[in-house]
Amino acid sequence: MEITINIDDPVPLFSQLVQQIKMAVINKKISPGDALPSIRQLANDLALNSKTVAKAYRLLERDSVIQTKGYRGTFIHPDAVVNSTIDLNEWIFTKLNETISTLRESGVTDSEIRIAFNNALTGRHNQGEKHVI
Amino acid sequence: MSFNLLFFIVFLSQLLLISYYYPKQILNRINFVLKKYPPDSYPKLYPESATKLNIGRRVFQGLNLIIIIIGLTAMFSSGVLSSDNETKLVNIDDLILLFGMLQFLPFLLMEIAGFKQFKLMRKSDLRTSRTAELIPRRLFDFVYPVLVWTAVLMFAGSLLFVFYIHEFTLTPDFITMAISLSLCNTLFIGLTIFNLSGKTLDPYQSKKDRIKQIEFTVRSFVFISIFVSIFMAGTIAFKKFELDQYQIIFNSFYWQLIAIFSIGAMLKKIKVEDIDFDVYKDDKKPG
Repeated sequence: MEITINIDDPVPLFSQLVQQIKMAVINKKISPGDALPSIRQLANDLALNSKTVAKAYRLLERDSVIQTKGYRGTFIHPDAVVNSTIDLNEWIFTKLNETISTLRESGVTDSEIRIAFNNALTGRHNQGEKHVI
Repeated sequence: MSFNLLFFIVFLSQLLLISYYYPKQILNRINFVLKKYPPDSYPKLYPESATKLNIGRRVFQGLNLIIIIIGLTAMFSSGVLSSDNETKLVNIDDLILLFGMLQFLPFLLMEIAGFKQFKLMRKSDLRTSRTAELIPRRLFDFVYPVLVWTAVLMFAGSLLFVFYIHEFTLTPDFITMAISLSLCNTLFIGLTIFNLSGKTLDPYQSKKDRIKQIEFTVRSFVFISIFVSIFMAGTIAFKKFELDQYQIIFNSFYWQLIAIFSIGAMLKKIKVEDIDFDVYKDDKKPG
C-alpha cells in the first residue's frame, strides 16, 4: 500500500497524511492490526520533517485510527474502520453552528460571540482552566 | 611447498581479486550502463556530466593499477619467492593488513563519489508529489534471524575466547579488541538502521530495487561482523600461540573474504540487467 503527498497542495502535509491513511483504512487497503512504518521511516521516505509525520500520527491516535504499542511500533486500531469515517471537522462545525444559533437567539451579538470565543480559546476568562476542543 | 611460496600464492590471489578482478567487473558495469542508458535518454541518472563520470572511472582504474604495481613490487623486493627468508615474512603481517586497507581505498572513494552523486540527484529532483510504502521495514524482513544471532554469538564468543586465552585477566590486547569490536559492530548497527529507515539516497530508485539493495547491504554487514569477530580473535590467538608466520596468510584470507562478501556479493546479487532504469528516463521525451 502506497501513499502519495503533494508538497504544492494547499492542504497541510500532516492533513494529507491523516486523510490518506484514513482512506486506506476505509478502502480496506490496510486492515486493523496491520503495522505502520515508524515516524522516522515514513518521514525519510517522503522527505518530510519527522515532526510533520509525528503530528499526523498523533491526530490519528487521538481519533483511534492507529495505536502505538511501545517499542513494538504503531498499528492500525481494531475500530479504525468506524473511526476513520468520523469527520471531526464536520462535527466541530455542526457543534459550533448549534452553539452560535443558540447564542444569537438569546440576543448575543456576533462581535460578543467572537470575543468570547477568542477568550475561551486562549483561556483568558477562567485563568488556570484550560479549554480543550 | 615452502611457506614463502604458499604466501606468494595467497597474496597474489588477494592482489588480483581486490585490485584487478572486482575493479574490472565494476568498470564493465559502468561501461554497460553508459552504453545502454546514455545521458541523453536517462538524464536523471547523470546529475553531473558524463565527462566527470569518465574522469572518476579513470581515477578508479588508475588507483587500482598503482596498487597492483605497489603490491607486485613489494612482493618481489621482499624476496618472498626465495625459500630461506621465512623469518622476514613474520614481520610483514601488519603490512598485509595495511595493504588490504589500501586496496579498499578506490572502492571507498567510489562510494563517496556515489553519495555526492545521490545528493545532486536529490537536489535536482523537482517533483512535487512524493510516495512511500505504508509498510514497516524491519531487520528480520531482510536477513534470517539465525544469521543475526550467529553474529551476536560470534561477537560474544570471540571476546570470551580471547579472555580465556589470557587466563581471564584484563590485558591491553583484550581491552583493545573489545573496544575495536564494539565500535565496529556499533557502526554496522548504525548503518543498518540508516538503511532500514534513513534518508532515501536515490530519489528515483524503484521500490523493488531499494528493497533488494537494503537486503544485500544488511546481509553484508552481518557477514562482515562475523568475519571481523573471527579475525580479531584469530589475530590474538596467533600471537598468543606464537604462530605469527601464519598470521600473514590469515590476514590475506580475511581481506579476500571481506571482498567476496561485500563487492563480490553486490556484483552477484544486484545484477545490472535487473535494475529498473526506466525511472531515470527523461519525463519530457515521449516513450
